[in-house]
Order: sequence, then structure tokens, then C-alpha cells
Amino acid sequence: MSRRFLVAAVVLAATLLTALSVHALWAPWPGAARPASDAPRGAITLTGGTARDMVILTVSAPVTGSTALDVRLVPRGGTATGGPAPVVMVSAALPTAGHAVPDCTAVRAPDGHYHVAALPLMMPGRWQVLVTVDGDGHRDRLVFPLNVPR
Amino acid sequence: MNAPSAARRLGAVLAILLSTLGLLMPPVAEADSAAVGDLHVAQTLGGRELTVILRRVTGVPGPLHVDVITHKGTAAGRLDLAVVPTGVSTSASAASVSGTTVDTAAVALSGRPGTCSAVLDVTRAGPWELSLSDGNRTATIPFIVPKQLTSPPETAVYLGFSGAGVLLLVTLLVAVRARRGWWTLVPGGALVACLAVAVTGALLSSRLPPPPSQGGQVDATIDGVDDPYAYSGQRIGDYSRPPGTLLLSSSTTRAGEVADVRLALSDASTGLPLDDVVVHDGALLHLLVVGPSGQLWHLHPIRTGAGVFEVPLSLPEGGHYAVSAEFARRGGGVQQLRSATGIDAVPATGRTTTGSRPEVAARTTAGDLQVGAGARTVADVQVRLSASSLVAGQAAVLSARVGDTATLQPWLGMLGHLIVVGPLAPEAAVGTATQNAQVWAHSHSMGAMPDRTHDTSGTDGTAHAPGMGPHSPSPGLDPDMPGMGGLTSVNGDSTADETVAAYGPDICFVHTFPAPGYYRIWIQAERGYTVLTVPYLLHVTGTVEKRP
Ligand SMILES: [Cu+2]
Repeated sequence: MSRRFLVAAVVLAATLLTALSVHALWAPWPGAARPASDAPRGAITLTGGTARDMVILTVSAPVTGSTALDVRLVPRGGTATGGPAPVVMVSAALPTAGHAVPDCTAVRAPDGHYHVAALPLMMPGRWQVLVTVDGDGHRDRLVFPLNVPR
Repeated sequence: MNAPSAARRLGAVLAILLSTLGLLMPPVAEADSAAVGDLHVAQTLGGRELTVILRRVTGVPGPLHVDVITHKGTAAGRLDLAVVPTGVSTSASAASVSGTTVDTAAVALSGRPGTCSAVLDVTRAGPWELSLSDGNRTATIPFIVPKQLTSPPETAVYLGFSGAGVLLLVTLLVAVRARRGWWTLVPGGALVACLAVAVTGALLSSRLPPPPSQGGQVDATIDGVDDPYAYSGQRIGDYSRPPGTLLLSSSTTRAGEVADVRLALSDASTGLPLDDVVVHDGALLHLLVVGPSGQLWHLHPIRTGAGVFEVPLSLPEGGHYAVSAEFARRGGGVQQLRSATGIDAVPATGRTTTGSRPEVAARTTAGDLQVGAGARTVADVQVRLSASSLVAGQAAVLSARVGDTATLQPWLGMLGHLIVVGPLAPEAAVGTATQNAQVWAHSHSMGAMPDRTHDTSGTDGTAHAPGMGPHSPSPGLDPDMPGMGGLTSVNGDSTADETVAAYGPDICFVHTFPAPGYYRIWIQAERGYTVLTVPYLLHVTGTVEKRP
């Protein structure tokens, strides 16, 4: 009888130990990619902003290789001004390696969306996606840090 | 003695033993992987030389205390401050106000040297920008609002110890109340398990490498500052980035007029704007300008755009001015870039407008300099320099006594700055000679040398100027302590700022001159809210003898 309790105690202790270790050591290390609901599977959506626009960048495939990009401008204060639509340029750089990719002018789509078909992210690493918004006499430059896993 | 009571006693002993063990465990330090002290940033804003101190934000949403320290001669006026969050996030709500001004404040500069303060509200952890405007120019200072963090092993320690605490009570309760003594082993075993987790965590927490510093080593994001463990990405040993390229907006200007010097930094690999400058030695960028007759400007241009720094400069005379910039990029490594062109000032055609040029600290005019160390008086402060072993390839010790009292103030986090240019022809125009000099060094002093060096310094022939008495012990200076207390950050504590006038008067530099010849040096130290710049011309001899 007493031996059974001893065994139970040891098993309980072992279970508790394992559970606690697993929780404490591994739970706070989740994967970095947290896709948004309306984006393609595996895509990553990053929000940033300037004084004039909220800028939402969706990277379709944030892995090594070419990826499509979507930039959405949401003007602050609700509606866009009556002037011409801003011009959006997208580029990328991997500062630690000293790599850059050519500038792409994003193609305008309805509802403040701008598309880039293929941006080459040749290497894994901590990239910077550079978004330049030219409009209304202003030029805003935004840097979106993007981790491209191996 | 029956079995249950023996087991009960065993349980009680076990509980006491374990509680003792718990008490003996070393206390776990607060998680401080994102702990940064105050951020000191020198800014040459228009005609004012300011030190902006962003006090550490201890909780969000919460206040950001900003102190602006002015110097002697800083004009009275008003500064407008604003804070803008600049981070990106995977969460649209977290980044919804990024790029917009969240809070503003005004600072009234009284015209007397000292500290003026303002408080701004920051709403969340992440990368931010503080902007300062004097009405004409706006400086932006990037900074990180940290979050109190707990690393995974530390979480294990907290969970383990809290679990152990609860189970300790349960064990005691069971040991006293249970009819069968073996029941005690159930919570007792769990208690051991919890302690094991805690001890493992405590051992691991000091061994696991911290995640890369957000903003210091890698580009900061809101998500990264919130949880650097989750967003640490690949762990690489080297976060360093390529060197920069320095472009001056214009290489000619007119003497006597205030010209805005614009420095554009770009990445030497990609050519893109270099916009990841981090605060180093109390400034984003240190600009050194050496003029034709030996003037030295040590200024801190304001950041006005991506990789763009600006500073107003009024060059007093025609001739060539050599320019260099020091800064550190995110990822580590300080770099010094010397402008390949420098600035040529054409002599003013009409009357000179010397009266209207803004007074900026750290400016001096060097007249004819005698070769060697000795005494100089700058801004009514006597500075005595002694130099020993001025031999190429040997460590030279330059000891300066600035004034007679221990009232030096740390400037840019250091008690003394030493700028060295050479070898050069001693009679040549200094700007041109500096442009072509092989050495342009910048060294710092953290106080006096321990007494040995100081005692021997008097034996150097060049040390004693006529009428210079023996050094009297200065009040408040412990002879055994070189007097650098409070200047080095311990455990992320804040270091002494410029308002602490309690250092010196002895400052010492150790510098190895690589080649023989004449060198121009400037010693800079702050006293009475004035940055003193003291020029010297030293001769460094070749090696005396060839050692076998
Ligand atoms: Cu400096």
C-alpha cells in the first residue's frame, strides 16, 4: 500500500517537473510568423505609419526567394485628399550582408492597395523592406524589418 | 513508536529542510535584458550646444522625463518637444499611431546654464523618436522605450519557486493532518520537482545568451521590443554592418557667414541612406572640424532625415577646413569618416559678420603655439599639461590639470577628450595639414592616473611653466581614487550627467603616437558649463634605441 503511494508521488513529481520545464522553457519561444486573417497562407502583415498614412505591408512569402508584396495606404483622418494618388516604391536591403534589391514601383490597385509582383529576397536574414510614399509634396520613407528564415 | 507518526516526522523534517534550501537559494536578479539607462545625446541645435537626456522609461504607458542641459552662452528661448512612435508591428492596433505625434511639450531655456526639464507621455514599448525644434530647425533622436522582461529561464525560476512555496504549505498541512504518513511524499515530491525547475532555471539564466538588442544590434520593431525572445530570429554572432560613406553638401563656403553644413551618410555597400546610427559617446554623430589656424570645432549635428545630419557652421577666415565624423551603426562598431574634400572657405569680400555668428561651445582659436606641453589659459581657466615618453610607438602619458578644483563636469560621458592630428609640418596651415595628416585620433580620459604616474609627471622637463607651483591636493579628491565614480554604468544604472561638477582637476590620457613628427593635439574638458578646448603642439621623437 505505502509503496504504491511512493510510486504515485514519484510519478506525480516527474510529471509536474516535465510539464513545468516544457512550459517555462519552450512556450515563450513561438515562431515569428503570425499571418493576418485575409492574407495568403504563410504571409506576414506588418503595420507601420507616417504622419499622413497608415501603411500596411503584406509579404506573401516571407522566405528565401521571390515574393509578392502588397502595400495598403490608409490615409489618416479617413479619406484621401482629392489630389493625385501617391506613388509607392518598394525596395529591400539586407544590411548585415550589404545586399540590396532593385527599386520596384508598386502597381496601383483599388482601395489604396499597391502591388509588387516579385521582390527577390535571395538570402535568409534580417531584411529591411523599404517603402517610399511620394505624394502631396511629401516623401515618406518607411523601413519594415522582416526576418527571412533559413 | 508507530509507523504513521514516524512518517509524519519524516515529512516535517523534509519540509523544514526544503524550506531552508529555498531560503539559501540565491536571489534571482531582475530581468534586465532590455535594461538601458538614461540616454545622453549632445545636440548642436542652431547656435545652441545642448545635452538632451532621455531618462529611462520605467513603465508604459508612462512618463518620459527629458532634461535639456544648456551651457554658458546658450541663448534663452523656447524648445518644442514631441514624441512619435515609429515602430512596425504584426498587430495593426499596436502600430495604429506609428508615425504620428503622441505628445508634445515645451521647454523654456532661461539663458543661464543648467537643466530645463519636460515630461512627455509615451504610450507603449517600442521604437520612438523625440523631436526638438527651436523654431528654425528640428532634430530627431531615435530611442527605444523598453519593456520589463523576463527571460524563459527566469520564468522557470519564478514558477518553480512560487510552486515550491505553495507546495511547502501543502506538505506541512498534509504532514500534520494526514492519517497515513506516506501522503506527505506526494506534495513533498512535487515540491522537490518545483525546486528542481527553479534551480535549473537559475543555472540556465546566466548561461543562455540574451536575445539581440532591439535597436542596438538589430532593427527594432514593436513586436521585438515586446518579446525579444520570440522575435530574436537567427542567432548570428556578428551583427555588424558595412562602413559608411560621408558626403558633404558643399565643399565651399564663404568665410564669416553661417552656412548649414549638411552631412549625408550612406551605406558603403548598398549606397542606401545610412539611417541606423545609434547613440555613441553621448551623441549620434560627433563632427570634428579643424580650421586654418588651428581652431577645433567639436559639434554634434542634428539628425534631420534618413542618414542626414545638419549643423550651422560659421567659418571665421578663408582657408581650408578638415572635417571628420564619428558615429556607430546598429550592430556594433564605431567608425570615423574623414571627408575627402573638407571645406574651403573663400575669404569674405566685404565686412565680416563676426558679431552675428552663433556662439557654440567647444570652439577655440589657437594662436601661435609653442612646441611642447606647459600652461595655457583658456576662458580664464589655467590648464597645465605634462607629457611623458613622447616617443613613437611608446605609450605617451598626457596629464592635464584643468583649473585647481575638483569641479570638472563630465562632457559626453567623459572627463576629458583628446584629439590628435599628425604628423604634420608645424608651420603649415593647420586645416590643410590635418586634411593630409595620417593620424586623426580621438581618445578619452576617465580621470587622473593612480598616483605613480602623477608623481613622476612633475619630473618631465616640459611640465613646469614659470611660476607654476607644486600641485596642491585638491579638496574633495581622494588621492587613491582617480575620481571616476558614477561615470561608468553599473548594472544599467544611470551615469552622472553634466550637472555633477565633482571631478578632476587632473585628467590623464594614454596615447601611443604611431610615427615620429609634430602633432597638434586638443584637450577638451568641461568646467563651469563651458567646454574648454586647449590646443598644444607636441613633438614625438623616433625610437631612442633599437632593442635587440
Ligand atoms: Cu562629440
